[in-house]
Amino acid sequence: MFLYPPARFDANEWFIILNSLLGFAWVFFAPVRYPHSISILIVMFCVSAAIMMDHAIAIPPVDMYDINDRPTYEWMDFFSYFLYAPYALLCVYLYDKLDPKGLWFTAWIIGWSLFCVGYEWLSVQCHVFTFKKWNLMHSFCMYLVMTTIHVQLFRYLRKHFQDRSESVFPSKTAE
Amino acid sequence: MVLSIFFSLTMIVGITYAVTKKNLHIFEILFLWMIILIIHHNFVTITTVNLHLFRFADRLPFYWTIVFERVVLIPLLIVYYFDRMVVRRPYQKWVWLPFGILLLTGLEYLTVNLDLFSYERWKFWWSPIEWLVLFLLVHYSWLWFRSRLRKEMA
Repeated sequence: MFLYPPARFDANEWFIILNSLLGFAWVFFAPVRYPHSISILIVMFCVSAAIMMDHAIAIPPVDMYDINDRPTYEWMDFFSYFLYAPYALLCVYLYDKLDPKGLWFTAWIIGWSLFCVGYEWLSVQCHVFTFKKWNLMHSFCMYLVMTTIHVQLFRYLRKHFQDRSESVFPSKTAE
Repeated sequence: MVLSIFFSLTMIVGITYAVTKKNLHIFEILFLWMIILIIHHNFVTITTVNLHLFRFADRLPFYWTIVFERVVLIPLLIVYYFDRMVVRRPYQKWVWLPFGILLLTGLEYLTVNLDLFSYERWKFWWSPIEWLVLFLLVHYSWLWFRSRLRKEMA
């Protein structure tokens, strides 16, 4: 089958749907602080990093964990990649507002990595993830790396946008 | 050995791209890279895990080589292609498209010949169609992002 439906529509599917809806709800009410193209790239970074990881280590021959009901690719798996996106946006939104520096930056990265581990623990309880050779300590290491790259990417994009006079505008003729 | 081949290829393409003048905005390069990752990874997983059209090599070094190719080399080649094509006239882009597809099909042929993965029910002539669909999806997503970026940067 091209994409499998859920074996049973239960806790994991509801977890993905409700969290995605509730997670993205704040995005529509929060005042705009930076251009939408930055938000698009932040969401895409989050989704592509999750896809890159899951499609590398969650399928045979590595197969460290399963996502949702089956070891195969379900259409609900695709929606699960958007689970973390609203929190990735919240992380950079608050970073932009609070601008933690020095040791506060380290605390920021550790804090958000712990939040992500907690969120993943919750998703494991709801059977979104079923660990085989993976555990939450591995996740914490990954979140430390990914959160750092993600925040640094945001800083880079924001700075690049502010210094837009130096950047090359996409020209109309190019299409 | 195979990892060395693909790593060398990636380095050569990467250095070449790094030293040439970029025609795309850095935001566009990032967007293209990520959209290629998202579309291509989904395609590969669906065709291997769900449809059993391909089969990955069981040996882990081979498997990690194919992961490396998917994450770095293929997006790099496609971004490079878009970067070169963006300054050309629209009809020239379509004229050059078969060469882009041929290059990626050739790369796929190399990975099959080096036993990184094997065809199960996949036919070789489906590969150019696969890359054409990927190019079209990436192209139209990029146009959407580009128009959005132009509005915000104006």
